[in-house]
Amino acid sequence: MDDNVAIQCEDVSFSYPNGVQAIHNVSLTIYKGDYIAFVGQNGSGKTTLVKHFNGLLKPTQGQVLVFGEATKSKRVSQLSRKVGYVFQNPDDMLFCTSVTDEIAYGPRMLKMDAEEVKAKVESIIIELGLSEYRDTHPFALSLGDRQRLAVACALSLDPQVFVFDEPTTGQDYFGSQSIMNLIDQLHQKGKTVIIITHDMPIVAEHAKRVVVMNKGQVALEGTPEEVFTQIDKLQSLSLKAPQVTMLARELGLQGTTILHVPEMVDWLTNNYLPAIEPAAGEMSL
Amino acid sequence: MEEKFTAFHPNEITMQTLVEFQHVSYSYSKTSTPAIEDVSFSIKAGEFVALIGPSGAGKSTLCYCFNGCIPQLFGGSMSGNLHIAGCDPFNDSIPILAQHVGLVVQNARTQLFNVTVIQEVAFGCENLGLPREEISQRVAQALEIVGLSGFEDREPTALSGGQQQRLAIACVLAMNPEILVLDEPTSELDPIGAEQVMKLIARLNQDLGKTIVLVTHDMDFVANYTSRVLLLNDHHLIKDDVPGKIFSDFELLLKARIRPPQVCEVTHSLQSRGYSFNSLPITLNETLQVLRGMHHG
Repeated sequence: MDDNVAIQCEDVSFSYPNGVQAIHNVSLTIYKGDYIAFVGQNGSGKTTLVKHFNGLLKPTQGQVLVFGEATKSKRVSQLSRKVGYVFQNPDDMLFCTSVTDEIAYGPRMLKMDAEEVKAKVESIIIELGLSEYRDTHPFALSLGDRQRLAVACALSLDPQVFVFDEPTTGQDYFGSQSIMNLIDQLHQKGKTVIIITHDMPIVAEHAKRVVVMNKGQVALEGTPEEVFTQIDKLQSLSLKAPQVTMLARELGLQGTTILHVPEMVDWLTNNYLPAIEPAAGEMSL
Repeated sequence: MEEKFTAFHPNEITMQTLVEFQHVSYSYSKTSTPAIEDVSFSIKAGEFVALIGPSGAGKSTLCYCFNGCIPQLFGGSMSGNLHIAGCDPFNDSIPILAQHVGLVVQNARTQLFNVTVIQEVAFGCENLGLPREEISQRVAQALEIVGLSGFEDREPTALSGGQQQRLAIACVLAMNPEILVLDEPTSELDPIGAEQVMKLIARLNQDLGKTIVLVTHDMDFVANYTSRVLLLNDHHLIKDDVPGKIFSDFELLLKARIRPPQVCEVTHSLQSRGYSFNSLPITLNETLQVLRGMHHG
């Protein structure tokens, strides 16, 4: 097994007990330090697939290897030390009566030493800027802070891989930026990061790799540049590339794919728009 | 509850004005800071208005002022003058207001509780005490408008997110209000579902003449669909203007922590590099046209 591999899906299929097959023969390798965005319509299998990464679901066919070990024989509690999962709705995973207890819950369940738990919780509280809320009831926090708390809970077990299911849904721009900065930092520290999102500018501006799911299969996979170049294919999957990407393409830019506003502005001023004529005063010189 | 409330005399309202807020302030009970403070604006019949602002600015609070839930259900203290479609949201009963204002709350799926789609849509009309014949007629019509004909016997909770959102819209449509207030109707939806809901709302505005108030964080939708923006920040209405003016005022956007559509960021950067625009484009198609025009000189 390659040492650089974090998660390996080998011909994974999954059917729910009611017989609905949600995943069809997916083979995919996620490397340590990857920053992957899973995109696709609701019902395309994104959440079902990523729930295999920490053993919440087990494949009905094929296998998922987490750091070389098949998930089939592992409990979620064993896998949770390796793969942290942050639910789309933080309220689905918060149930303690204070922020401190909520963060300490995982380590306590894994029977970590009490002093160690205390030190760990304290350092996470400070890292995530939750120090004024130590004794606050989680449901008294704003959505943005509940989302941070959910991340804190995942951090408490110090996993190598983090899965975020729609981390910015329902947040305003400021809240989204703050969560994405947090996720970027995890990536910069060498963690493997997996996000599910519908927000294409977020994919273009943050992720290093994109997996497009459709009808339980991987429809498209590559760097954001590679994926967003295929505007027509994306449209057939009912997805839209970021506005600047579409703008550049419609204006006739070929060969490169623009993903960010500054790149777009540079291309427009250098290659597309007429040079600005100097003001009259300067011309007389 | 403090009562500083006075309804308008009907003569003061022109035919066209459907909604009038004058110096409206409201505080929830047991809070000292107001959720909205000194908010004044009016809306004419047939307008499509976006209500935007960062989380916690007071957008949802403002929505509840439209149908009397504030202050009648939520208590608290309110002041100012308020007039909604000929009603006084302070004194007229909520069932009366419900026939003028349809409010689709945030996370609309949480307001679905019946066993079948048809019962869900009929619920509001039943509470208005309408005759059975009229109820079935209105329910059928509402389901057709939102594209859910044929779903009558389905279970609301088994529908997709987009279908649930359209069902929630059908529920208020059946009460035949002239104003629809929608609080983040697309935030939980995937791109297809969100687009379908937005197209439905646009149709309700254009074809049925409904007056729309839309709360959203999606600035592309604001640019593409609405004709006017109310910007709330820190419990105050800080701007009331057309989308083009809002999205070109970068100082204002920064203050209210709003990211405009990407094309507006592009034109803004071009302006700072010395390019000038007669009128700023805010949608992808408008921007394409303007840039092509500049390219060809």
